[in-house]
Amino acid sequence: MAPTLLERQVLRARNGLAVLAGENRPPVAQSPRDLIWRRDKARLWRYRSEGPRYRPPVLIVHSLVSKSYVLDLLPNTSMVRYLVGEGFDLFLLDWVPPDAADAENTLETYVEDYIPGAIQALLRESGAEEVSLIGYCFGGVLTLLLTAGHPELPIRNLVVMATPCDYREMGFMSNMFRERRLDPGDVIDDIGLVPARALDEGFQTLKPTDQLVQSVNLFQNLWNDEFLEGFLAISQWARDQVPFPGGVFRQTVDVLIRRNALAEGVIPFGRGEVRLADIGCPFLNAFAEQDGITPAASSEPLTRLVGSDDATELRLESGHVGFVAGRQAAKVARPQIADWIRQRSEEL
Amino acid sequence: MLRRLFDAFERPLAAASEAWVQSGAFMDLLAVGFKLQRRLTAETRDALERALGVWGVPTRGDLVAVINQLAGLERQLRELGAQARRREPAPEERYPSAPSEPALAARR
Repeated sequence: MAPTLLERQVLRARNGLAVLAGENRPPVAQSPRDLIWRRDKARLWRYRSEGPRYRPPVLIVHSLVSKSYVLDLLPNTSMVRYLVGEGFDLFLLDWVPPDAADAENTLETYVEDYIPGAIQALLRESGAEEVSLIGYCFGGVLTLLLTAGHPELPIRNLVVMATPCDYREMGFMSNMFRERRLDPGDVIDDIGLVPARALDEGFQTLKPTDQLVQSVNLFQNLWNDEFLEGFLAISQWARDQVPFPGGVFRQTVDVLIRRNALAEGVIPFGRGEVRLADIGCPFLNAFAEQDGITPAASSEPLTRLVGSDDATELRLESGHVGFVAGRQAAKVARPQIADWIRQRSEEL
Repeated sequence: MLRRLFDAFERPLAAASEAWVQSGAFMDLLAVGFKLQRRLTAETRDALERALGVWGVPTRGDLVAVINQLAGLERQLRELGAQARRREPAPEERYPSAPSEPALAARR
């Protein structure tokens, strides 16, 4: 039964005081997992399950610009927990926030070294011969470069979620660099990183009234414990940005933003180039209509740029975060992504 | 009721502010402001460090230099590790299920 008006005011006062005091921080990333491989700041986790029902295992490659607990935010909204529950042998390639030693990392560092190393460890650990990859946000860019540039890797399926491709459509932050109002050196700090604060401020500038709307939403639903838990978890994640390695940032600006190489389908990479048309494995391009960080128009071209005969588009009515956590994620995104992978996997 | 009133006020404001953020004038202003702030911060820091240097007090610049030296050493160690790994078996040996060269050529 819904609480009365008076009860709501009491609950609102109780929860409001707890929020002000910094209490009731929701515990995030609760799914049990084991660290099975590490190299520098790369960490490969395997989620515990009661025994996978499908092969090959699934490896999520997380973005470099945020923390991976968005994939395992709360038990009832966890993408990780959902995929494990659906019978997948799930691995996550995560990145410890970079420091000065990572400042000169480039895209090649991740694509030529860390991800192949993690795949090798995954195959050894699971005994599988192939792997399905999921790349989230900038992690999708890494998996695209990997799959296009490494046909020798046994990648069965590739799923990219909220992955930028056409940087002309990426809006204000991209335009600042594309139109040379700013150069990478303007935002890279003394130890060679783009500070987390710069990214946070950039994302906030995209929607100037967002903070106000969020505060009003919070006040309106402050009595609702379930809403509050989800709200606090997502707010915590959204403000919990990580620094970005300066080397990768220079390359992102030069190659991805200014040359718009992903949208051209040919990306200067390593000593040569990689072509998205060389991606021949089954491919799922999932993106969100209301995504303000990676707009749908930026992700959309990927489906036709890859060379796969089995390229599918999944268009969702949500935002960037609502993609992996939230009602749309629970009802549409997660089930459809899981179904798509399941149809291209073997039952054990 | 109050929420509807807020939405009626906020929605046009949000649309206008988001359009303004994407405008050339805003981006020009932001870029200039950003560079100015960075320059002022650097100059203030330099002045402070020069003053502290007179008294022999270690400064932020000294600390950054040490951090960068340590980071350089760590990168050298990583490179040595990478060289050792490159002596490991070739990819086709590491991934026995990988498609053969003719299959790869056909795929391309």
